[in-house]
Amino acid sequence: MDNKSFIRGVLDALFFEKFFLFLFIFFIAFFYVTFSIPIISTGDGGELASTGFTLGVPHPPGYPIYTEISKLFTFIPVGNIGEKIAILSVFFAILTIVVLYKTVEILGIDKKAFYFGASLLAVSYTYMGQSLVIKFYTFNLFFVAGVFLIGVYFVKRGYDSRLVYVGSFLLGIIVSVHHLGLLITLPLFIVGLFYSWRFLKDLLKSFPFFVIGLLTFIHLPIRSVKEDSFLFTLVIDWDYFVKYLLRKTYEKSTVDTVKNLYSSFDSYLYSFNNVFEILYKNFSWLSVLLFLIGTIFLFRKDKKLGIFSLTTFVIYTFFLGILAFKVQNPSLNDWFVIGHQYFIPGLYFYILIVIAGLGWFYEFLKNKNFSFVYRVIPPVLAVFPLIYISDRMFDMNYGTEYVPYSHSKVIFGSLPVGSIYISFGDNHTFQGWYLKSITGFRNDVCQLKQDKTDGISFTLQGCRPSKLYSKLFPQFFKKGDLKFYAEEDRLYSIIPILKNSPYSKIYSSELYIYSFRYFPKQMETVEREKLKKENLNMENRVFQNFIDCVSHKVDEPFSKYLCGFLTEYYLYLAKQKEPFISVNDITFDIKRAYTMDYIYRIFVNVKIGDENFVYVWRAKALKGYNKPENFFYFGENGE
Amino acid sequence: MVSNLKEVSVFVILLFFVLLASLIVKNYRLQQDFFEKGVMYENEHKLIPAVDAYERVILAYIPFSSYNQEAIDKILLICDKLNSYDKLYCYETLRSALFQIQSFYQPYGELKEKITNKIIDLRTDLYIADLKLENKKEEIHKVMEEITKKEFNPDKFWSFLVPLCLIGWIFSIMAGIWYRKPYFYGLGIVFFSLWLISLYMA
Repeated sequence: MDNKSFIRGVLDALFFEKFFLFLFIFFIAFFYVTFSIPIISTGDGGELASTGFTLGVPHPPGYPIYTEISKLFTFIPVGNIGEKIAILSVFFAILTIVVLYKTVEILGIDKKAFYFGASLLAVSYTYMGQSLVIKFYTFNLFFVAGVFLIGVYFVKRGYDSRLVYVGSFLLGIIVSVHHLGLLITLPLFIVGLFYSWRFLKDLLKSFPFFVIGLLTFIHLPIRSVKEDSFLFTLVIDWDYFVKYLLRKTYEKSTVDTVKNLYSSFDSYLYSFNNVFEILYKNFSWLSVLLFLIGTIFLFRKDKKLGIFSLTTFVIYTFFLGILAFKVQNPSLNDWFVIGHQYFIPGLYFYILIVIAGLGWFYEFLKNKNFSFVYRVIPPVLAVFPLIYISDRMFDMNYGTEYVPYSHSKVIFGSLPVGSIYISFGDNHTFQGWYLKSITGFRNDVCQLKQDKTDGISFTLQGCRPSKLYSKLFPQFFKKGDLKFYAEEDRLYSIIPILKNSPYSKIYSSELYIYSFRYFPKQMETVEREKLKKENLNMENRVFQNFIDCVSHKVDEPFSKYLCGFLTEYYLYLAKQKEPFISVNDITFDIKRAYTMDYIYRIFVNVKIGDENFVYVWRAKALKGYNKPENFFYFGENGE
Repeated sequence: MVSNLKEVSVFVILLFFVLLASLIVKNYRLQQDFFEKGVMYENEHKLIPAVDAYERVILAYIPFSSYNQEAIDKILLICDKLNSYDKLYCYETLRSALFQIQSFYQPYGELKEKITNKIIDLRTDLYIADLKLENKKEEIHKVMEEITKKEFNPDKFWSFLVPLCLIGWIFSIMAGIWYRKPYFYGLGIVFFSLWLISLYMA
């Protein structure tokens, strides 16, 4: 072979490699966008869209970088605000896969193994799930993976104090991305100790860069004073600012979580069990073998790199499990909020080691001159995990998920002009903020956020600016009087009044579509009849929500929970229109748990006839299709 | 290093365009699908579900797509046919959908203004009718106008600068550390100052 053709061969190979990489990455990008949420997602989605669009302040610790970058995404000239902010999650999920590629390259692992690992990660339940919604977990992972890459450079290319400074600066930045990102400090520190005094000296010198990284938090006080920004809360005094950063405004702050580290041996076992369940359910047993080989391979390649990779994996899986997930039988909420969100970095580092294991196998094939097998197996294995796409089409197809939006529209759209609506819990509150305050849909309504069921106190984010709303709701703003609005049929809440409710002495409540109308005790039967008529007239308003609830293809407990409200409404209609005599009847168990000791539970028995058959059928369809307890991680326990 | 940076930049730009193209394809399918559903509901005289379906056509906004205008026209026609709270729901839906599709500019800005005025009148009339406050019409209209026109919408120019300056100062500091050149730190300070100013001005 002459020199020219050799060079051409190398160029072709390089081009082919890059072309294939681009093709692979762009395929995942297309696939993710198609499956991403079309408006807003449940949980924090509504809040993050609201604060992102307005450069506002979300819940502690305030996530300034996520907020500002999500604002940049709202300038995309296609789609709506929520949809565009969801693209941010997709964008960083893809970039993280590119960082994975770069890490594999620097670690000197056969790059063909990357494709198998990246496909497996991309179609895994949790990684894909967090890449399609309005959440900061893929954004956070991108930074964690980036800092890990710096650590790999550090070990591979030899000591360089600049890497210590850059790492320190990025750690400061990471604090404002997500507090869990900071866990990467531990493995970085361990690796640094290999270089003893030099590292410790540079570490001290790098501290100012860490502080400069923290300056991103200036966003909070500046945006708190702006009228155009939507605020979870005002962060303007120093003490509160510090509390906010450390999440001390919550019952359990970040500091308390760390104190939680020392615990009984049993709880360590529970944590191990829970984390193992996450890894197993995402990647199956087969990957464990590759993981073990990968660990040995990395240690044999370079002890420092082995220690660094394994420590990072342990920190983001079992150590994090001890901090946040050491319950014996995690509830559905625990699985969804902690298991399905916090452990994405753990999944990433697990896959990195799996790739190393497969890389060793490929090297073995290459060295033993199994050239045919070496050429055939990698492409087959690269696309093999993509068979899971068929699963994801039915549990992660967020492209079909309109429930949170249409649910909120039914609630706000049915309220009389100038009403007060009391929301409870993240779902109803955050979605309400987005719909009412940001899009302006029925912003004549004053939305109050109630945090506890055993007291009457509110936060007013959904009724700001108070100088405007106090003109429409003077009795509430000047005297804190709600009774006036109850008398005028203008007081609604998502919480029913039960016996142990602090409202029970003054008010009683009746179902109004999905929420409850509060009215003074002495309200006449005529009023109840009027309410019944109004409820019967709202059938058309819930229709789109019904379609959304029976056609979404997402395994999303919060959405399924929201669809339960519609089941109850259809049962109400069925009950109102039930035949006088019927041989068929059915009993439904309706339950809404607000807190541990505030549970609304009713058994509705309905006689079935031609008059109400359609409502009973719809209620049954909704209940059958939306069982939150069938959640991916919870399935076996739930059943 | 420089060629690496070039490569990364090209990749990020390419990725952005792939995402944009994918978003267009996705939204076009959504527009087609929901427009058909809207027509179907309208034929079945389910006017509110039809409004909800057309709203989703607008929410899947693609510049220059003929579905945008067609969906708006359909909603406006339906709004005319409705009364009382259903009419209010219809206009509110259209206005909030138009608000949500803004980017550098607000598509159908004039129409949004017109609908806002209709909503103010409707809210005032319904509130007065519900609470029998005929003698306070002007006062209530003024309050409704202020509340309805309130938007949480930071200044577009300054709020676009905010993330750019943030990225600018972060990268400048990193470049300063890496290349050990004071020039980058100076640039970092400039970006940082601009970031603070734009945060405040937005």
